[in-house]
Amino acid sequence: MTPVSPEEVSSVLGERAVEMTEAHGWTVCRVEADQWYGCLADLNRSLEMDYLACLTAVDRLDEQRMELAAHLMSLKRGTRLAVKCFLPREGACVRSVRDIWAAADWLERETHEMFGIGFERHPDLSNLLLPDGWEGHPLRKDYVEPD
Amino acid sequence: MSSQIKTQELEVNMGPQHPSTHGVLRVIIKLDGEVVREATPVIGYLHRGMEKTAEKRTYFQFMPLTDRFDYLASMMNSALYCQTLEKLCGMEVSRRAEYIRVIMMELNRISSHLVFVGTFGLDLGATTPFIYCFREREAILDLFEEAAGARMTFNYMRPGGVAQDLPAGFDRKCREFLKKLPALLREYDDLLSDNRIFRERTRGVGVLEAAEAVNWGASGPVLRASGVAYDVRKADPYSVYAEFEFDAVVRTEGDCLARYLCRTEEMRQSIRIIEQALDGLPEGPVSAKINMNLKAPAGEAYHHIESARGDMGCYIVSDGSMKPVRLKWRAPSFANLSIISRLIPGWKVADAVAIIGSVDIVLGEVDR
Repeated sequence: MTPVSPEEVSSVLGERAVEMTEAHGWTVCRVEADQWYGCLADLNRSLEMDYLACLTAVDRLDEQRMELAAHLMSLKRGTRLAVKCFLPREGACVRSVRDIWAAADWLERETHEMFGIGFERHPDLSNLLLPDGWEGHPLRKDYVEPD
Repeated sequence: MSSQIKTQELEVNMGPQHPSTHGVLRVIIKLDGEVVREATPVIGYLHRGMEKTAEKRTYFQFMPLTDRFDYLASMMNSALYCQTLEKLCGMEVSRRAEYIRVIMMELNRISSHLVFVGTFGLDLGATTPFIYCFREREAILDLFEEAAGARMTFNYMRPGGVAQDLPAGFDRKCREFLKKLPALLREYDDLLSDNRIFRERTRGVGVLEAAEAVNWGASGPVLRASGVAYDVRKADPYSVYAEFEFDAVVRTEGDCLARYLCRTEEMRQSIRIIEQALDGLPEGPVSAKINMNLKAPAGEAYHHIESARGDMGCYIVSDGSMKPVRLKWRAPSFANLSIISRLIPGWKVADAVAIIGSVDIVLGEVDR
């Protein structure tokens, strides 16, 4: 398995690839949040990114933002690519990729309950790991544990 | 006559405390007679906030907890965590240590698959294989105990190597066990895969198509039983796996029986790997001197391995301090379990039990 080259990513995303870095064998491409769905759909179509291995968020409290990260693979081509976008810490929302990868169903539900990030058009964003009615989003850095 | 009988949809809870759910899984099933119309897995009963805990512990302090994700294959969890850290920190690992890791991980794959074979038989009403499988698993746990001092959660892998070298006599005992295992596995085949009831209850049941399996993020035997030849050991070789000869077991049927047969064959492949690793075990150190207050350089690393259940990934984001900003565990059971909502509808209740069993979940890694 090899990382998708930055050139290949550029050929599909063009200007939409805002930033490209390398992280230990992964090409990491950053896109704008409002283009999250479109970019992932295009990567899925054009680069045969058929496998959503992981989708999660990172709370960067010191930089006042959330980062959403998706680790994609193409089992067909034997390639891998990470895609990121920056989101505001409050009221963050992107369009769900559930209709591209069924794997996103639970991954987005978990990211929603743990970070408070919304996923538009997701069929069911009820709590997955947390009990119903749990207050707060535990993986946020400013989360306060209940007594 | 039968058209005049009015039936009513019935909602039934399977679990969270039910032997067929392998831990604390709850499945809400909607029944029409004996046919399941809808199955909704409800998880989180074993959620321990492990990813949050990781952010509040140093890299070393978190080490023992990694064993508790998939507690049936602990060696693989801690190896994944160590290898991700090693990637992030650019640490070198001696070849001897990597060989020992492979031996431990493959032994763990066998012991985990033995639990699967035993409990799967139990799910379908065959109690004898369960006792046999646990007897053989016990022999592996004994080997682990000698090497690591523990039987279940070993804390044996360390960043930079393993905790200590193999004890005296390990090589001999391990080889003796591997020598008698193939005959025992054949015996279990007689008890299960050659058993007509077992075959009838698993063949053609809960078929998962290849494209669907990929789309749902399935991995491990669940994916390979559907005809997709994706085994991380082959597709994205890590550690020293590229040096060994073995086959990624693939079947095309996609049913419960295929998932079962994938695992039994995988045990035979693991035997091949361990024997090669014992034969070629290099000399040298098994651990490196690492500062207990290890600081990972700012950045991120995503690493994945083939655990007993599939593609297990670890994503660590560091800001250069002693604790990770974020640690995400990509558990193969998590994705594999989500598929049962799609697999079970249309089958009878008894088949639902077979389907859940064939997925081989460990709730420890699903709920984290």
